[in-house]
This record gives sequence, C-alpha cells and structure tokens, in this order.
Amino acid sequence: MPNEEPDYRLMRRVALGEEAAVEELYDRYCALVFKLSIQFLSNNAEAEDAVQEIFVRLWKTADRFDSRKAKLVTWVMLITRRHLIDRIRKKTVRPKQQEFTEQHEVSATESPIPSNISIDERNAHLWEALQTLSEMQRTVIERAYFQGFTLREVSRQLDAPLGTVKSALSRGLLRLRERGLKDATSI
Amino acid sequence: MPHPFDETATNNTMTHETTYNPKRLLELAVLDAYGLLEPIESDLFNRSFHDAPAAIQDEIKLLQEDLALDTSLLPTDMPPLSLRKKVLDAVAETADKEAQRLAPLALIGARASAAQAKFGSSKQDALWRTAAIVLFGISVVLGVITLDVQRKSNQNAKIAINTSTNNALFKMAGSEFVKYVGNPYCQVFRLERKDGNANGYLRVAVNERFGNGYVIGIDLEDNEEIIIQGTTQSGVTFELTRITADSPIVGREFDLDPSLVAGMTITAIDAKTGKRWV
Repeated sequence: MPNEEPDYRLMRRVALGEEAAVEELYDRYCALVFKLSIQFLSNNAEAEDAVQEIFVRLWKTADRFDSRKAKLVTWVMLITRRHLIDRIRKKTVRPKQQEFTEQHEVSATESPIPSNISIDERNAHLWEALQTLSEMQRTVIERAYFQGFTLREVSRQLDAPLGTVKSALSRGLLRLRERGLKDATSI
Repeated sequence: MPHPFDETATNNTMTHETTYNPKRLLELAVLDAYGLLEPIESDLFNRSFHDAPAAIQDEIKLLQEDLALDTSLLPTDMPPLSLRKKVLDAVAETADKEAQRLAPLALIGARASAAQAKFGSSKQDALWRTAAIVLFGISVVLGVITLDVQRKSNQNAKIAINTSTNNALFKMAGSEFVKYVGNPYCQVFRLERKDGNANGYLRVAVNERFGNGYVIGIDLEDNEEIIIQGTTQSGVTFELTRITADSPIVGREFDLDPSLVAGMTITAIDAKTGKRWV
C-alpha cells in the first residue's frame, strides 16, 4: 500500500493517544487480530473481549515499538499472541508438575488437559495440518501454544531437554505454515 | 526461501548462552514471533538480534513478518462491524483513566507546557467557540461537549507528560539516577504487576560492568513496600534492595556482586502482600 503511513510514525501517534491513529491501527489489523482470537478462544463473545484488551495493550506498549527490529504487523501479532496465551494461562486450571507426573505416567505425549482449541469446521484446516507433524512436534505445539504451558513446563512434562523442545516447536510451527501455504495454493 | 531448519535437532539447552549463532537465532525468531519466549529469553534474543549481521537481521525480519501475515490456518470469520466502536471506546476510556491518574505528575515541572497545550491550540479555540454557541441554546449538549473537552484536555496532559516528565524524574529520583540513563553497560528491566493491576511502574537498571544498580518506582500505591530480587543463572534468589512509596516517584541505588550479574533475572515482590512483579 504505497500511501500507507510509515509504521513508526503511526505508532508514535498511537502512543500520544491520537484517536485517528488508533482507528488507523484498528482498520489495518482488526481482521488478523480477530481471526487469531477466535481460533484461540472459539467463542465470539470472548474473542471480542480479547480484541478490545489487545488494542488497549497495543496502545499501552506503542512507545516500545521499534521499526528497526520488526514490521508493525509482526509487533501487533506478537502482542496478540502473548495476550491470548496469557489469557489461556489465567483461564485454565492446570495440574501442578507433581500431579501431572502421577496422572500421566502412561504416555508422555498424552495431552494433560483438553486443548483450548475446538475441533470444529472453523479449525478443520489447523487440525488436519497438525496431524501431518511428528508426534513430538504436535505435542509441544499443543501444549506450549494452545494450552499455555511454558517451554520449561513442557520440557519437564516430556522429560526432554529444553533445547529439544524449542527445536521441535520451532520446526513444527514452520511446517504448519508450509502446510497451510500449500493447502491455500492448491485450492 | 529455503527452509532454515532442515538439519537434525540439537539437544543443547541454550539456557545459559549469552549470544546465539545464526541458526539458533532464526529458531528463536520463530518462537519470538509466536510469543513463546519467556521475558528473559526474549530480552536475550533482542540483544542477539541487534548484534547480528545486517543480512541475518533482514532474514529474521522477513521470516517474522511472513509468520505474522500467514492466515492460511486461521478461521475465515471476520470481526463484526460493532466491534470497531467497542475497541475505540475501550482505548479512549483507558487513555482517560491513565491521563487522570498521571495528571498530578504532569504538573511537576510541566505546568507551563501543560497550560500551553491546554489553551494554546487553534483547534481548542474552535472547540470552545463551538461549545459557547451550543451552550447558548441547548443545555443537553452542554454535558456532551464538556465531557469531550475534558477528554481532549487529558490527552494534552499526556502529551505534556511525555515531553516534560524526564526533567521531573531527574529532580525527584536524585542525581544517582542520571548516571544509569543511557548508560551502555546498563540493562534495564521493566517490571509489571503479575496480578494485572495496571497501577505503578518499576524500572530496575543493572550495571553489568560495575555491578551496581538503581531502582525507580513511579506512582506506586501509598506506602507500598517493594522488595527487588535478583535470581542468578544457577537459580539462587536474593534481595537486592527495597523501596517504600512515600512519594509519587521513589528511587534507590544498590550494589551487587558483578560476578552474579550475567544472566540475572530481576523480579519484585510486595513486602506486605507477597504479590509479585515480573
């Protein structure tokens, strides 16, 4: 978009509380933020609440945006994902490590709690793509990204080195993206 | 673009590294883009990013942008039109509350600029003229206009804060504070209340070379006592200093063993309630 205001200038105006700048930020990214929110929360009302909170958080953190390090869309989606993961962590009662170990000795890759993501038509593509990953990659993505466990918690649950968890997670997320792009181009 | 992670996995924990090689940096870039790094790892990633060659930086920016823009596995739902107003109202309401809360701070050393911002602009003059005409005939509109003016004034106060608060901070926090500002050896930790209460800010600057540091607290609860803690790479936690909020801005310098500073995590805890800052 050639006439679009540069990222840094827009965020400087957002940081100063200019209404027009917040409107511009919303118009640019509301669709992305809403889609991700509804994927995580699977409930329209909760997703709408989350979108409001996310844009408030974007306003509060606008002065920290550094256009030399990242594009604005990267920053917006980072804040969005962090917020949604925080929300899941607050919302979900998760077993303590000791309880988890006692209850899940059968299979380290068995999911400790139901995933926050609903298996419905809305997320069909995501579920199909997850099934194409290795068991390790699928497990770490479900636990760290969709269930809100920290990487250290996942590492302890799976009795796997933290570096292995990070590598599996990183590769799995990239494979998911590749799979998504392939599906999108084949339609 | 070739897949950056086609090689087999490594089992290194990466926990205690201070810089990353390009492959690991790209790996962490993915986790960073997905919001999966803990704050301390995120800080380390950011520092490694700034130290990386320009070509790697460009590759990371491109990769993270691609990941952010990827909608291929997202639902196709679109936000309802009504959401726009809700979001804008939520931001405006938060901005108003924040401006009212910080208004006393804006007056510290900034009265002149605040007054100028409030009354000096032609936009404001026009608004007042319009308000006067409307006031003449319609008393109901009076309330609406008054609220609008109040909100704009709060916004102006916020602008005044941004431009003038630095000087006030230096005056209130003491001369020790100044030597930590912009110091290349200092790492600054931003702490927020873990329970989500938005009131108050804590910033802790730690000088990695000489092992001393400074904590500054702004707009904490009255007489709130905060303990600043450091946790070493080996997991040992100890008290660095503590501050008591007996004024809107409080600060204190502290010393620590320089050999413990590398990789140290800074947290804080309310001495009375035990509530944590992270």
